[in-house]
Amino acid sequence: MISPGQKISVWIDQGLAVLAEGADGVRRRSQLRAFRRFVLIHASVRSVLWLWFGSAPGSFGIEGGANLVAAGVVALSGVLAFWHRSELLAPRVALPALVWQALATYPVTDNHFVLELLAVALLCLVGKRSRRDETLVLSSLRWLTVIVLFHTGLSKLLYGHYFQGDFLAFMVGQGGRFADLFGLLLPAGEVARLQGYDALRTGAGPYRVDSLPLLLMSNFVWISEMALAVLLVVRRTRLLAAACAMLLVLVIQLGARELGFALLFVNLLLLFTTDGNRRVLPFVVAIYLYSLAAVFGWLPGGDWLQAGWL
Amino acid sequence: MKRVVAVAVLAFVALWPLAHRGLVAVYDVNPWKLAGFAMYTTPTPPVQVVLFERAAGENAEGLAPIDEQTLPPTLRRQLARFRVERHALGALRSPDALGAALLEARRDLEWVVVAVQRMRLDRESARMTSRRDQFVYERSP
Repeated sequence: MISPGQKISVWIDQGLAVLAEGADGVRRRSQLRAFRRFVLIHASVRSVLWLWFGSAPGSFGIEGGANLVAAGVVALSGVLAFWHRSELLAPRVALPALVWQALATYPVTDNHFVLELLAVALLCLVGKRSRRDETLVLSSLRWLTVIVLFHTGLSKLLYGHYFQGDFLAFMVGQGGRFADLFGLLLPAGEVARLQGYDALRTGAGPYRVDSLPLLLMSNFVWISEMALAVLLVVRRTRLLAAACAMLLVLVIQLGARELGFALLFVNLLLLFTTDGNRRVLPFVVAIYLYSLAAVFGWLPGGDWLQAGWL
Repeated sequence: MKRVVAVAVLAFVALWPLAHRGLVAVYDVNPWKLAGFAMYTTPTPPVQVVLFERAAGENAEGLAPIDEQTLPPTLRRQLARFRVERHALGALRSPDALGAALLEARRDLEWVVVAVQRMRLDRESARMTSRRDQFVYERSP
């Protein structure tokens, strides 16, 4: 006779196993190693930028010496991740500093940063040469990706501003990065109308447009996010879904221009491939190095990159 | 134990956004904040916070905005922080401490009012709507 607790335990094991398949032990270790290096480099670059610009966006508690210490600890973890002897220690070094950064930036902590924190927390569970731990963590990181992708689509459905394109119309009305991309789907007169409203005035609007391309794009976004999340779970469609989700993230980021999030989520999606994280790591590190150099003014594109990071 | 931690993390990520949706509905919490993974779902323009004074002896219609530049630097910082935190936390961030600090800094005032207005995009009309909350703080006798 199986107790309800045992049933739940079996059910959880089966659920974790669904996304653990598809990579042998060696590749699993290689994938986790590359992702660990990526996410800690990502955290290091973000911490350095927070330090350089004095604070995280809109926060108050991240300034001062503690910020310097936290950035230093995270950067150290990024270095440790590249040594085989210390790579498992690296996320455990970073985690307390990331938790401190999360608390210091509360309540304006970005969701992207929470995702980074959770990924590092899961990486802390990998023990030395433990295939079981590696399987658990790889599966958990994949589930983390699926759940977050699904929720981003579900929330767009629940808030209801995507059915008739209202949210995208509003963002076009605000000008800037979203207008550059989604404004292309609208006649110039409509863009001018939307940008003529003062969003801080009661009754401003309507932020609604009669544009089939914008309407299709708006609904395509949330449907794709939810559908691709489901297709990532199905083994036969996993690779295709991961590739489509990466494409979707990159297209959306043409508008949102959040480079840090785009790289983080693409790397999470690469965990669904057999060796993608390791292959792209040199390019990703190059992007981060370029970002740092550009933000500090040594290379062009700093303003664009700063807006995408902070 | 490791499996329990991993499942707890995943359960949090799966269930918290649903609870977060409730917080948004009840307390007007910012959908983009507090790990609800509801960014880019709805516009969230900054909240507008205006302080009003009402000198002793005047009637209720005699409210006048307080010039923030006349406030001490610490109070201005507190006000700036309140704006950001109210924008993120909605009604979960009460202005009580700000009101008390304002009365403490401006001992010439018997009453102060903290007015908070936030804008939302109405789903039906696709027009901006506002909700204004006023908090009145009276000096204790």
